[in-house]
Amino acid sequence: MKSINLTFETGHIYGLLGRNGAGKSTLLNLINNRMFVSDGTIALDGHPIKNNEQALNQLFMTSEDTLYPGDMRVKKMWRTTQDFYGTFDWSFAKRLARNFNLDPNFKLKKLSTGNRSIAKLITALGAPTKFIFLDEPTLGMDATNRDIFYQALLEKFGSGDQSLILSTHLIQEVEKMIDHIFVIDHGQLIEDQSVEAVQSHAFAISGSETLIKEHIASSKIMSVEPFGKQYKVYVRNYNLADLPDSLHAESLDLQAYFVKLTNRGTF
Amino acid sequence: MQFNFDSGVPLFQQVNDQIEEGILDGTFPELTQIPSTTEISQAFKINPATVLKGVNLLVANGLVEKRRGIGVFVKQGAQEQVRTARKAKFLEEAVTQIVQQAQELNISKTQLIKLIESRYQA
Amino acid sequence: MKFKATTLYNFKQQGLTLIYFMVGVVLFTVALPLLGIIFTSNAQIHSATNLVVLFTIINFIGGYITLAQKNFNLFIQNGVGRHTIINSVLSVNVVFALINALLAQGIHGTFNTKYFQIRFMNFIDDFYGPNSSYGTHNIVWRFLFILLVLFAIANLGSILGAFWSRFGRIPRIILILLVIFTPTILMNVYRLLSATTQANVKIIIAQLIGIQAHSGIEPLMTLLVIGILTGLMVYVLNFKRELKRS
Repeated sequence: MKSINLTFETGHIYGLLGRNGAGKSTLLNLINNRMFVSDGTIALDGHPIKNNEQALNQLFMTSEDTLYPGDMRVKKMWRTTQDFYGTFDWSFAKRLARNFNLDPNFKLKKLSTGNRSIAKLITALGAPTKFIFLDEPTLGMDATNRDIFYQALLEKFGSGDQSLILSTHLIQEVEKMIDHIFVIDHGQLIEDQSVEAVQSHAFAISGSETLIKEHIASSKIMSVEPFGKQYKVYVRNYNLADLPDSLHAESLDLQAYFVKLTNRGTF
Repeated sequence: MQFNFDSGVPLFQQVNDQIEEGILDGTFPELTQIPSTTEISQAFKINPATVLKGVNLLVANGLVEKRRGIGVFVKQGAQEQVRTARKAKFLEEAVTQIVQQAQELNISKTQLIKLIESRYQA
Repeated sequence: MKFKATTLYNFKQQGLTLIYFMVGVVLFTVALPLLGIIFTSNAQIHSATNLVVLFTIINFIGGYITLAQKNFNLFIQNGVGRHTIINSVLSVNVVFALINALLAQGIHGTFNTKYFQIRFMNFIDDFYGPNSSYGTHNIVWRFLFILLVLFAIANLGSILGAFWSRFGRIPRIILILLVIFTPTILMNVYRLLSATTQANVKIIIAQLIGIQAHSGIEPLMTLLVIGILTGLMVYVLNFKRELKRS
């Protein structure tokens, strides 16, 4: 992990995107006092969070690794959260468990991967913290359960005093829900913008090679696709008003944008 | 309603357009309540802040009004207002485009009018 | 809040360990011999259990559990700071050393009935004899001695708990084998020695850990220092402990 500088505010649903091994989990582990930074600080409202329990009580994270003992019952996970964080949203958790068809009396180790994800998810959504970090929360969950999860998430984070930081590879499923993205690549932060800003400035522009080379600054080009005499370039931070009539622009969805941004490989 | 992320139109604008469409075609009759932000947000998996931005645009345009603690209601005369706006937009955009393309393809004015008339009769 | 929750969690686990062990002890020293009596009618049963050794094992295991990866992970998941984890573990180690020292002191002596005797011994008597400074008559000193031994042992358990996660599978197996076989090997070497050398070795070991014949306060001091040093090690090993990614 290299030097990274980013800020989370309340009232947002953030998407933390990055390819496998890009450093997302490491970043989340550093923020949540699970690992320590060798240089620099992580602060909540200006106070460093390192072993600062007042700050840590405002952060909750679930990761792919299950940090609960396998013989713990789902109900006990909620109880534990209440013991350590002061309160827990029992009615929300119980309702969610019903929606997901999960029996809270089960022990974690008896659950399938998908249901274990669900158990951790419910626990996180019931936690009373300002910031909730979910690292790959939908691991092993089927499409229906993911749908229930997204609905719960929008219910929980619609009110505005909490924020969710969602790290996921299922970009298409969450692209309309997240309002701000961070993209981590090779341990560096390469994107930090609202989804609206990214969206309105990312395009696939096609036209002849000469015209494109003449009109599009190479610094804005993420990727190039030659196609016969036609050229297709994927651009970011581009103002559509600058586009000459002779070139054609198409909008990109978030997933296409992400792929073009992070795929440095050439064929 | 349907929302396209890659249509090039910002999502909040799409929310605004879709509700406008509903007002125009009578899905949301005047003086009735439109779905709440949370309902729209959950039904279409859209960020609630984005939905709110779209609804606020409708409020700013005078098509709907917020009643504190109850919800958002379609205003009297909203349907007519949308229709007028769409008419203006249609004349401005679609007609201009048709004429422009017809000129590019060397279609004469009389030919074009004839074509339009034949479509109306069909 | 974090300290309270962490400590309660540790306390419950250590209490359970204690209960499981005591059930085992009762089973093996009372119930099974009793069965023997029932089946063989008038036979007499002798059973001897060294209490301090027993509680040493209990405290070691309890100390291990509180800082094993499983517990550490749960505390980290719930936003507990490293210092709270350390403080809580040390406090629980002290409290359980206290409880077990009281138990070791309390259930001492011989249950003598017509059919069976259960002797609960105390290894201190083997070392010092009942008339030393730590003998049966010096209840306070004896108690302090046991308390400090149990505390240091619990800390050693915690140190192992913190260390264990850092080892891979093969080092773990080697370590377990070492722990199992070292005493056997050492005992065999010890037996091969002549009687005078054996006596000398005994004296050297006794002096190394601060035990002297009819000794005064020195062993307590040594144990106190060991307790503090192991406590410091618990601190050092955990203050920068990071989550292990699997």
